[in-house]
Amino acid sequence: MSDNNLIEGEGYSVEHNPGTHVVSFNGTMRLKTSADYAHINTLLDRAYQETGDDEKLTLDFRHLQFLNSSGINTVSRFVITSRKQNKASLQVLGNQDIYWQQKSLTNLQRLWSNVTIDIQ
Amino acid sequence: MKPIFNYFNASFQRKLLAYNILLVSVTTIILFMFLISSQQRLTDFALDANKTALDQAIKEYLTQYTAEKATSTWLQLEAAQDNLSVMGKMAQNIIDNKDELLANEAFYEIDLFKTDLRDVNGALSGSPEDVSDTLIPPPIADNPRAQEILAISSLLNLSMDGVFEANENNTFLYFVGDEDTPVTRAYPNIQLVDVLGDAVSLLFWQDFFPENTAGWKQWYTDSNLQAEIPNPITVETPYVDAAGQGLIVTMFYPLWDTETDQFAGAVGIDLTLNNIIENVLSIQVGETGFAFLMSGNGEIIAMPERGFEIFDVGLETVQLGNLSYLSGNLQASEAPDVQDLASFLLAENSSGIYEFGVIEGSTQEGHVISFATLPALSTAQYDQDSWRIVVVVPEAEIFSILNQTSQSISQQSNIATVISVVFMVAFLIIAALASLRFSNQITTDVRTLAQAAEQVSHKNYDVEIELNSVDEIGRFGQAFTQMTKEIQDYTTNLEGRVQERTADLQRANEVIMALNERLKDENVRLGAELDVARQLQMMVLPSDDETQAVEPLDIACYMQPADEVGGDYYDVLQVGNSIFLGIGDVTGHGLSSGVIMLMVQTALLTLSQSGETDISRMLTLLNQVLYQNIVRIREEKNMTLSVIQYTDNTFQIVGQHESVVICRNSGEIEEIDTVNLGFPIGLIDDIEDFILPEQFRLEIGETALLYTDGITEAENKEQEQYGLERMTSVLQKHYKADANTIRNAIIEDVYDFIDAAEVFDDITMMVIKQR
Repeated sequence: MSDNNLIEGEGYSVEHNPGTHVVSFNGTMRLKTSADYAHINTLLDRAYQETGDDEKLTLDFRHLQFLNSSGINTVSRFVITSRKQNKASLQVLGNQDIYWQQKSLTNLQRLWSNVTIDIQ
Repeated sequence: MKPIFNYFNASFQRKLLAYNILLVSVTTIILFMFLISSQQRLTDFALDANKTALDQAIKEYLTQYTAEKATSTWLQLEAAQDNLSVMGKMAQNIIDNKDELLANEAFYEIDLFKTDLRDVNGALSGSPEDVSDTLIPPPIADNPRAQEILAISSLLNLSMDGVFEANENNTFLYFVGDEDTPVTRAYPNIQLVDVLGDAVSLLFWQDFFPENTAGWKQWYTDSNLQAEIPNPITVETPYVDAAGQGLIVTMFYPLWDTETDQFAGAVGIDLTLNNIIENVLSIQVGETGFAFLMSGNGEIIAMPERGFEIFDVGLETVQLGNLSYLSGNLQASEAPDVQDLASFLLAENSSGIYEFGVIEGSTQEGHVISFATLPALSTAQYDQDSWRIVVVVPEAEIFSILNQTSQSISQQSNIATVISVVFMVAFLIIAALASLRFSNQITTDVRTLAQAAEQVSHKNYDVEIELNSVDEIGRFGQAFTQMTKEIQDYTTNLEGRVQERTADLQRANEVIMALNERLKDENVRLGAELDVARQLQMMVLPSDDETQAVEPLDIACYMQPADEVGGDYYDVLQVGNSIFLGIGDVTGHGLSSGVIMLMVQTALLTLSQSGETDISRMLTLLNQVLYQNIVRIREEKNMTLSVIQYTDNTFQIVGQHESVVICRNSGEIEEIDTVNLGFPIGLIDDIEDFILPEQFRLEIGETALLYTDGITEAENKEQEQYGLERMTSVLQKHYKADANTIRNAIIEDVYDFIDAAEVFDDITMMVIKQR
């Protein structure tokens, strides 16, 4: 797995598995600005490009304990970008025990109906 | 033990030495013990086999020896019987031809046959010069038939001396007439008429041998008995001669008148047993072994004194010339084991071995007894009497040879053991010396290495080691030398390297200093920017006067921007009769977040002042304005925002933000989720479709709480979030108090929770209480 598919920062990691088309978020993300999330956005965009039209890209937030508003903004904008391309559909996996996810993840589907939300 | 252990443990060489010696010693000692044990087994086996073989050989020898002695003894008795037979058959011929011999009177005029009898005290006897001794006892001196028989017996003179001398054991050879006329003719001429003394008047058969004639007659008339025992000779029990001739045995050859079948007298022979006894007594086997002769009824004929002691037989000493011997009966012994021996000897009719008093472990001396039976002699009644010759040898003497063999084997065995011990000790010494040399040799290099390592540890790197080994230790030595050289190299060149490094670091430092200068500038700029942002954000917040001017509601607000402002927003607007409340949070931090907050405040104020009262429409428009401005300022930010319009205890709310928390007068908590009431502002150009107004009502005294995630997501040092529950529980404690009190309690609780941890975000809260 190349470094392009793995981002590790203080207290968090984001990992893209090109084989399964899953981007897994782990830990706690509290980057200050949207600009700080730019490399995450890059990874998400590439992951979306590498996912076939008939396929599905999964964003797995089940192990992400916290994502601040800038992070949510980044993910929201990624969904908007994807909607504009209208290629692969998106699946979002959440964890019902994590408070922020209950509030924020439903917005993603509202942004684009091809997003399926699965809060487990 | 421990000091010894420590001594050997302190040196590799000693350990090796100890190990070698231990190994060799254990192996050698085990081998040695095995050897000794094998040797002992072999010795024991040899002795055992030797003993068995020797025991058998000795017993065979004894048996054979005894048989030979029996044979030689019997030869003497047989010779005597043959001797007697010659005389007896001659006498029988004379009697058979008695009449014709008597008729020829001239015959007796021959000197050899002439018998001039004279009267001696009533008896008739020939002269001492006659060849043979003749005697007619007084009772029959007048009987003419007596003279006739004596006359014809004179023919025996022809051969009497010859026959007598043919056997040296003969002491007396004689012819005696029938029962009625027991005349005697004897050789040598001892003048019986004188020797007998008063006994001269006695009749030979009636007075000396009263039972003999009946026995002979029985034999003569019983053809079966004759067939069984063809030899007519009978033997009397041995007796001691009164004339001092020792032990004498008398044998008779009976004679018969074949016409009348009447007893016609007998030829007798007195035989001395001296030679036989001498022969028996001279037998000596081993050092103290002896022999004895006994009759078929246990009567001891000859036995040395030692025998009587051993067999505990009542005895009687008999002096025989220069020999003395003892007489008794073995069966008469009171000792049970002697009685057993007697029964054994007398029952067996041949030969054998008897172990007398041989008791394992007993102190009593055992004897091995060998015996042989002589051919039978007949008594006057033709009872068969078989004499036994018995050889007695102490067992200890028999086995003396064996013991000698055993001793020499044991001696050899001991010598072998001693030699083994000497060899073993020598071997151990050699092995120890070899180990010493070997361990010294192979540990030399190890010690050299250890010394070299110690020198290196004292920072003396100038170490040259020369090892003889070409094995692993040799290779280790080479590697060690190489390593030492490298260490020396490093040590020597360290200064140069440090100088190089210092120069590098100095260059890097200069770069860093330059960068630092630039950073200082940047910080000043950023600090100024943040100050501006903070002031902007605080500047547009409603004043206490404004909030307290809202009469129906008791409102208390709080905002503390983070170091990097987070773009939190709240507002209280009163436009005519309309009261608007707003709360929101721009994503991200910094100046741009503050600017966006300012835009929102301006837009909302503008919309409210324009007379717009539909908060859904207000929010839609606000989003459009903000979206376009965000695009314009190229900030990828958005904002959560809830807008509330209050009329008569009723609150109409739109827009997505945190939940609204309500505390009823009962203390019960209600939560209004705003997720479905709108959409983030500035994210998309049109959010009209997402807007869904909702309303709630507060009775007098009831409280509503508006806040940003700076409160719920505030973290302590353990990175726990403050959360909604803590906030509501503080609210529940103070819900009856006024808005200020509630606000202060909650804010105090939040900061207590955060304690010394970093505050990431703006902390904003609005407490609304229905008056």
